[in-house]
Amino acid sequence: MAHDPEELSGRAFDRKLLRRLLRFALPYRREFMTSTGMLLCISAMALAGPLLLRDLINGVLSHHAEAGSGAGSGDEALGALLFTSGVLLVLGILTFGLRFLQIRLTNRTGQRVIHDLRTRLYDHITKRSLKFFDQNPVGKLVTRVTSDIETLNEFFVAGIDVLLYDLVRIIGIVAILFIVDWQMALVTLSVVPLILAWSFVFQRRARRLFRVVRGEVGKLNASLNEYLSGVRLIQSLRREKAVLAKFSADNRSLKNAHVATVWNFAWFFPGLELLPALGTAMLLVVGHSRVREGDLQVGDVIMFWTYLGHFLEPLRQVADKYNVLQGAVAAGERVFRVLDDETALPLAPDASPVARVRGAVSFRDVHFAYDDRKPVLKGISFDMSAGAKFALVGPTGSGKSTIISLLSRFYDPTQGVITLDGQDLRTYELAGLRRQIGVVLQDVFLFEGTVRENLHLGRTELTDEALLAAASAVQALPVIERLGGLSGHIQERGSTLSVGEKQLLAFARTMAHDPAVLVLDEATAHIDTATELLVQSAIARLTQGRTTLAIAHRLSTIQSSDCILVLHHGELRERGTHEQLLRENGIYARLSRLQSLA
Amino acid sequence: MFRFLKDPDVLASAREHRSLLWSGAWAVLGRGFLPLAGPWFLGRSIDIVVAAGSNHALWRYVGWMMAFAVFTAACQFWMRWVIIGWSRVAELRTRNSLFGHLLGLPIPWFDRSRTGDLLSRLNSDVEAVRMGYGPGVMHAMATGLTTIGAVILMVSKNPLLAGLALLPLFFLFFSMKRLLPSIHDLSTAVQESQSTLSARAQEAFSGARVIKAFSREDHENEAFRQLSQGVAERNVALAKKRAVLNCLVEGLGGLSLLVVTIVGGLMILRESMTIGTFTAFFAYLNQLIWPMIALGWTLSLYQRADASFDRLNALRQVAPAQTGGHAPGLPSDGGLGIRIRNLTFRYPDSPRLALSELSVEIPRGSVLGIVGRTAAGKSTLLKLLLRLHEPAPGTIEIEGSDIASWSLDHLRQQISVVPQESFLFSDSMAANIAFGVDHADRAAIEAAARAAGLEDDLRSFPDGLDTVVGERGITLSGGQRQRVALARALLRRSPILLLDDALSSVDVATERVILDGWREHLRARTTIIVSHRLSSIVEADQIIVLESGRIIERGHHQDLLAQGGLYARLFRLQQDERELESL
Ligand SMILES: Nc1ncnc2c1ncn2[C@@H]1O[C@H](COP(=O)(O)OP(=O)(O)OP(=O)(O)O)[C@@H](O)[C@H]1O
Ligand SMILES: Nc1ncnc2c1ncn2[C@@H]1O[C@H](COP(=O)(O)OP(=O)(O)OP(=O)(O)O)[C@@H](O)[C@H]1O
Ligand SMILES: [Mg+2]
Repeated sequence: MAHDPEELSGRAFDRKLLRRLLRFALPYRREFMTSTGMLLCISAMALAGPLLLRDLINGVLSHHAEAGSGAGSGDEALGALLFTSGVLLVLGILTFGLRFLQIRLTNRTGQRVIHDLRTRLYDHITKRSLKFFDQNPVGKLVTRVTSDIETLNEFFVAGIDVLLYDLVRIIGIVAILFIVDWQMALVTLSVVPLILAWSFVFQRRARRLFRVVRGEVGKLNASLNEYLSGVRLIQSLRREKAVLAKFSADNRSLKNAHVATVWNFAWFFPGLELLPALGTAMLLVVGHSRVREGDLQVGDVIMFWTYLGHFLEPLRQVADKYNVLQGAVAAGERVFRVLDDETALPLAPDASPVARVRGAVSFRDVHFAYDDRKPVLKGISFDMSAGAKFALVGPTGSGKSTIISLLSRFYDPTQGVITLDGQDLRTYELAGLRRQIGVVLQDVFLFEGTVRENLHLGRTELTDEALLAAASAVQALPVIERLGGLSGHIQERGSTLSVGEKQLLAFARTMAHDPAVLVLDEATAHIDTATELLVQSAIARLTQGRTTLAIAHRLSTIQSSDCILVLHHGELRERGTHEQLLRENGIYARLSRLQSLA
Repeated sequence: MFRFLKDPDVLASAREHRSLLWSGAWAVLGRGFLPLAGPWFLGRSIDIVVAAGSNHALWRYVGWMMAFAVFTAACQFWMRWVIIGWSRVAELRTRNSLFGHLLGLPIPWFDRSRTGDLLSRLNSDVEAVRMGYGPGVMHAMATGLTTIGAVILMVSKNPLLAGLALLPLFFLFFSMKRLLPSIHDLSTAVQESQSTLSARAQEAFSGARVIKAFSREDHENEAFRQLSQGVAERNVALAKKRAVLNCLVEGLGGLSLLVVTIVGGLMILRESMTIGTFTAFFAYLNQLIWPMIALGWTLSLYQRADASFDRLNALRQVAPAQTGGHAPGLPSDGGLGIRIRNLTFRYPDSPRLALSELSVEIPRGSVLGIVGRTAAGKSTLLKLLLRLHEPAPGTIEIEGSDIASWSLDHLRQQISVVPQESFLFSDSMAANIAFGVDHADRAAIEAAARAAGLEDDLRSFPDGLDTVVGERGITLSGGQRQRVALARALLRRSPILLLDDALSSVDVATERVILDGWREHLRARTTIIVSHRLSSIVEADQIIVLESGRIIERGHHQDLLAQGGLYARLFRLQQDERELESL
């Protein structure tokens, strides 16, 4: 298919992507700042620990150890010890409380951002035009709004502020180290370039690998979704083994993608672990010689060692996080790919809000192709005055449903215009337009939920009486009764109903919405002729003055139309009433003869 | 806790990779114990620094320290590679086996489940369980060993100080007891709400056309927003519990450090401890703190794994459809005779009978036409023949043998069906037509396409048979889809052919071409044609008319017309134009 979201661009995208992700956090900047503030306090308190400890060791303990136990200095030492402990205790309690508040705050904020992003994405998807849905497998789209978004969670919950926190901690420690002793500080910091280099190497690979993973997850879900939807067919034909084999192949490539990232990280982490040891070793060697020279005390060495830990830990965290973030970024890329998809119908800026239309429809030299290589409609022109009953017949694949799709403005014609009440469809506000045009689609789709929800589809102003009236007109009342009334339950896609029953419910749904123009795409194809006749006479009553365009292969369905349009290979070949067309003795007459060939 | 470790697929996979996992376990041991050497050498080194000892001695300790660090890193590498790598392999196995299991589940179960929910189980639940037995177990073991080692070393260095330092950690156990169950429950709630969300999205994307036709986008988005809100709220609740757990662990760890500072300080004052030992103690405790923090993390990981494992197990517990049975010998050509006797059927939870006391005999090679009002039970009869739903034993026989005792493979090999709603995969037309068979050469596929009247359409596609269609065949016209399904069934060349309203979206001219082309074909098989369009079945050898699950009329076309019942009426309604013509 033309549109391949698998192929993603390189680096320039990254910074832009990060900025876009952050933009979603912008409305919560106060929360993020509060949480960062809290983290700063926490890290300040954590930084104080080693300083206090150094003073304790240098000032009291080592002194004491050297001097031997003098009674006076012992009390003094004890006092200092208790004082330091007291301060540490208070700091500990404060840290504890702050940490709790902070974790809670980040999670709440992170979840809000994720929620915003998820609903934005969903909103964007549902507002794409049908072309988008023709091209994107459902399973892949579901992956975008579920697992990709969850992966992004990492970025907001454990990402931004922890990153800030770690950075601040690192800077704080570096500052303290330099203030205390710049030489030792340099020794301590000498491992930093190593860490950076190491991370850099792995981060680039991680990004690439994670991209592959996200792509594979999407693919796997797309096929999973298809197989589960087609399980009845698979079982009927006993293709379970073949399908399982195909699924395993997809599953295996996902596994391979995962294993590649495992290999990457298996090298990365141990390398990071080596660095503290290296740092400690250098500290000890340099510290030792300087203590011997007398310009440093043991407490200082211990303090530097403690800081080394405090310092490497966040650095390691940053490196680690940075890698985890690659996963989030890979997911983000895919999410933004969807958000950047502009497959939507151009909306007129000054779209007129739609009041009730009269329902005069006309097609003027309309051409259309789904795919440039294959024209589907070639110069269709016809006029339906308001209230007229038209029918479309023609061989399968001749473009009948396509005409209907254009009339509902699922797609725009590539050439020519379609007007409603003399005004180009493209100048109407889209939602209002579609509310005027009621389609019963060829493929019935029912949602999991109650009968009522399926009929009003969220337009709660439709009363139960109105719903039942519509249902009774199309003979759907018995179906609803069998389901236990309007509150009865319908399974996914109406899986426990007969196809005819589903079609009746879909018909009732369209009638309940009381459209000005009624469009029927083989709306009674799966309904017996006796029931259909009842439906038709009721519809005839209900649609007094309503423009109707019907497609049917069973010609008995459309005989009484004011005008029958015969479509052949995307062109209108004949038009007229049933009798006229029979007299013309063309395509229609042949079809009609065939039908009665009993 | 740890229910997820009993996951049968994981156990099987572990057994299969036993030796590799053992090597991983050794690496875990190394990763667990080797780091303990660090503080020991550190303590020694500090004492040397304090005593201003020789450079040489210091170098030795530092050298050892580095050597151990390298060993540790090597162990860590191997541990990660083996255990986490294996967890991905085990995950593959779990997902495959779950999917295989799903494929074999009975159709009535699928009637009541939601695709999006299943998607979510095979994704995020499988992943959550993997997190449990992969990273979860690995970290728990490595850090657990370090903890044990650190405790032992601390006790050996200074039992009193060690005891006091570890005291706060005991509080942890009590608080865990209260916290863990609620974390488990919240994890379940989170998974479930995510499932609902996924199901909603799956439905909305599949039904995009309807949502657009009724311009319900805003309504749909609002409904989704609420679900998403629910997911967020549950996640926040869960995060809060986890925060309590984390803080508790961190806080108690801090308390231990404090105890060491005070008591250790006093001991140094009393000269019963060196500063080096004091530092080593500190280092050990630091090594304990990280495991403690990780403990909070792993525990909530386990809770989540358990919650997800339960959800997967719920799937595993659904009994698969009965597939076993015998495979009686059958005549090799000319179709198979079917006899249905007193077939009564009721769908689960349905108050009314879908079929009642239906009896009909379909001789080998004949064509049975079924007509009837909407919801009369026509499709139900076909589903029972295929045993997509199970008929009562003894009611359906093929060549004199009860199909209830057949193996499903054998039964379904004999039957090709064109379902009322055609389902296509997003694959090429050729692959779709060949879907029902193991191998098919191009010529056979083309022949089937021809027999299904697809020739003209294929010519109009630039890529012909290699045209890739959208999901469910969305990029084809309704009639094209139906005929692909037809070609798929024809290619199977099985002795029984079931057509459920299979030409409803095809115009009469094309229908005529198809039916004429088949006449010879059909003689070689037993065919059942359900149709609302009587032109498809007027030539059937036998026609039954169903109403509310009963046969109300039966016979040849002419007999039925003569009877003047429902059939005759339907026929007249569809033939109206003939009367007009004769005017
Ligand atoms: N979404 C789509 N993307 C690409 N091609 C399409 C799409 N929908 C239909 N087509 C192609 O356009 C042509 C006309 O299809 P259309 O559905 O309009 O036929 P139809 O006259 O309604 O046929 P039928 O009677 O079988 O329903 C067909 O060749 C079909 O393959
Ligand atoms: N899976 C199911 N679970 C419960 N009830 C079902 C199920 N499938 C069908 N039914 C019910 O059984 C009855 C007969 O359905 P069936 O699909 O056999 O009708 P049909 O004769 O094929 O109708 P149509 O002409 O509409 O296709 C209907 O009332 C339907 O609601
Ligand atoms: Mg049916």
